[in-house]
Amino acid sequence: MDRLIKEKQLMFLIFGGLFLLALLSNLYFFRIDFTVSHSNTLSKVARDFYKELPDTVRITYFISPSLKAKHPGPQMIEDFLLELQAVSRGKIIVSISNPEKDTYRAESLGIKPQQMQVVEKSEQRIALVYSGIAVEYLDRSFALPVVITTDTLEYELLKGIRALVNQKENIAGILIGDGDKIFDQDYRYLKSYLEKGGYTVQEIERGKRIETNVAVLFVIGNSALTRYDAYFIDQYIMHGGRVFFAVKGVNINPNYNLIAQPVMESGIIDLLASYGIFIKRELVLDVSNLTVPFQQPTYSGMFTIQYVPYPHWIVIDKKYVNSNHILTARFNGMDLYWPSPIEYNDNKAFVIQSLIKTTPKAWKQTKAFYTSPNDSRSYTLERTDTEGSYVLGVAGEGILKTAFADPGNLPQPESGQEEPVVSEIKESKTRLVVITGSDSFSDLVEMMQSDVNLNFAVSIADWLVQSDDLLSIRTRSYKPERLDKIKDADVRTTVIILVYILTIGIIPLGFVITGLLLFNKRKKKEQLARLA
Amino acid sequence: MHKASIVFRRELKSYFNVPIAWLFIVIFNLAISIFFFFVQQFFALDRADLRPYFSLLPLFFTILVPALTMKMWAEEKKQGTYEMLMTMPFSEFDLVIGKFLAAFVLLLIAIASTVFIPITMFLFGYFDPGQIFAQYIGIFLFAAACSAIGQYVSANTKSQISAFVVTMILLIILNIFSQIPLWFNMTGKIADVINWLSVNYHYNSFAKGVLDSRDALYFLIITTGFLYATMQKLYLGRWR
Repeated sequence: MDRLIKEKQLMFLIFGGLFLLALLSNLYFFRIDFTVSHSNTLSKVARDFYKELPDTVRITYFISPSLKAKHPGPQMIEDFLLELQAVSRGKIIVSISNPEKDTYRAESLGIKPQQMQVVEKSEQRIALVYSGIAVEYLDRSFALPVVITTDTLEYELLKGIRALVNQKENIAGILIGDGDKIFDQDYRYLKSYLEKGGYTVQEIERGKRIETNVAVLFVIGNSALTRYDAYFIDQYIMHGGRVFFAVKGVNINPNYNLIAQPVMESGIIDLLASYGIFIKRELVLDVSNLTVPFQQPTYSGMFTIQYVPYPHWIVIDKKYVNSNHILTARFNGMDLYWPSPIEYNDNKAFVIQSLIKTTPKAWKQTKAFYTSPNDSRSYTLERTDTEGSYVLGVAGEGILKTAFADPGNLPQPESGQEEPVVSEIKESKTRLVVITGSDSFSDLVEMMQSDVNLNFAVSIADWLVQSDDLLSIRTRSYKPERLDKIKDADVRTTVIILVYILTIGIIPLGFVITGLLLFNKRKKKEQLARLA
Repeated sequence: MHKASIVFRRELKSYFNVPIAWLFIVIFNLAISIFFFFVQQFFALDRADLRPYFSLLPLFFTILVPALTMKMWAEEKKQGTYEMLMTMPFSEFDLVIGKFLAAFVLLLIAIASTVFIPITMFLFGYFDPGQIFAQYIGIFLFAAACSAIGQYVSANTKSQISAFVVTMILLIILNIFSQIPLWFNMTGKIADVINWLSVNYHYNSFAKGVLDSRDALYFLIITTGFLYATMQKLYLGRWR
């Protein structure tokens, strides 16, 4: 009986120990991040961030207890913030606060409540919950009003703190260069992504001077931009401006049976040519492309939706991007709609690098542009003569000379417009990015879920404003990519069928056969033993 | 440990001598593949992400592990070999660990047999191998916890059916625990405790590609706790 008592004591000791271990595990813990890009670990930028902070930064995470109890995200956010505090050598102080105790303070700091459906006493009701981060520095503050995961938190938080400490507002100006597009209607997603990336988005009017407080200018489309518009862009660059050109050599009208015409207005194309970047008035098609829904008439007069491969909408493969450039070093993919080829000159003062290329099996349409899926048989008319790899995006860095240095070459204003003058500044140190297929940044992205394009646009903005270190955080966050390694649709279907045969047929069957063989072997052995 | 290894070999052999292990592996393979490809529609989703695949494994374990562990002790009792086993020169530790390892190894073989799915998926897209590795660690720990729970239930029941049903209910409860605070709008410490008990809550970091010591320890505590409870059950049984 003495041993039984001892066993019971040991049992209490062991279960008590396990209980204590469970409690301690929440106080002392470590994490190993196995992801290739270490996207769940504090980056070197975050670890060294305290060096940039002249004074203490206070971070308050406002989290409703009801939300914390129901979602694993808040715990991860809390862990991340506490880790950031631990490496900041006292420069970052983190506190976790229940906003429901002081709603006024949370909301005055910019934290926004969110609606959440809850069940209480068998009744459904909508509750207001908070999960937002407020950052205070001296007498200034900013907020991430709603944070629910840590996916892009490190990037958004560090970028916000840097802007707060340096008292710098990052304005992204957007100049819409196509006559058939409207900023508020056709670029809502781009605006939203830039705002989420910490930019204040402003529309820039055509034919107006661009203020130098605009940190980065997006010129989206060029079919309606004249030399007069180009003059102001050049002036902006000469005053230290950074520009992302999303341009095209051929204009496609989606509203009129995808009619394609070379861009007539040469303002931007000429401006870029003077910088050494040449946009061809041609279309590039590629074997790596998107399958698009296309409405086709039937014999009964009705319409049917068919999914057809569309080589005009190119899927950029990470194998064909410049892995040495920080913008594309961790490329998450991109879809370009109706791109044109780019050529560029080598220049020691302004170094241009290719960013994005097609596969080597791309080809061009140079004479007649067949863009409608009804004309799919004509897509490849020029393929034999033009097959090869084409550059669709470049980045340039260095000293650029003005395109309007000659007083006799200045554009003519229309009545009431500002008279162009030759700038006193003849050259400027700058950064440019040029990508063809300007529609790839419009709300068309929604159709093919090409949100990677918008993420890439924000990365471009970060590179242009020289937030290279933050860019490295942004691009490392893991985003599942498409299953587009196999480009050929027929090959892909065959491989899928082979996978089905292997996983649903061969492997289970293999186990059945092995089992039966072993069973028979054992049976025979038993029979022999019985006979013996 | 030598004696435990004898029990382990005997148990593993007993699984493969009858169709149960083979049936288990075949059903597991078919169910995972069919659900992954046709119910979750992996290729239609068009995302190089294997989280949906790994989220299936705990679900199938909830049904298949009880089928595997139900016979561990309940069958010994039914066939009358339990008493004989207790008189053999094996300690409770040898018996429990040996049986646990046999079930765990069978689960590992079942998981390994589905490894062709992730491998072939690399043909279609760029997956994060580190994340997949962490998810495998998570599923191994989950498998260990399931085996331990199943063995404990089997040791406490005489009928295999009861062992099956009770283990399945326990695993379902552990899987859906994290939903309880959501259903009953719970907050505070009670919700924290319920979340801590939930398998899903601890599996989340593995799914993201992170090994968090708190989550790994949770599975180890569950496994150790149930194994020790089984040993105690057998030990106290000897005294009755």
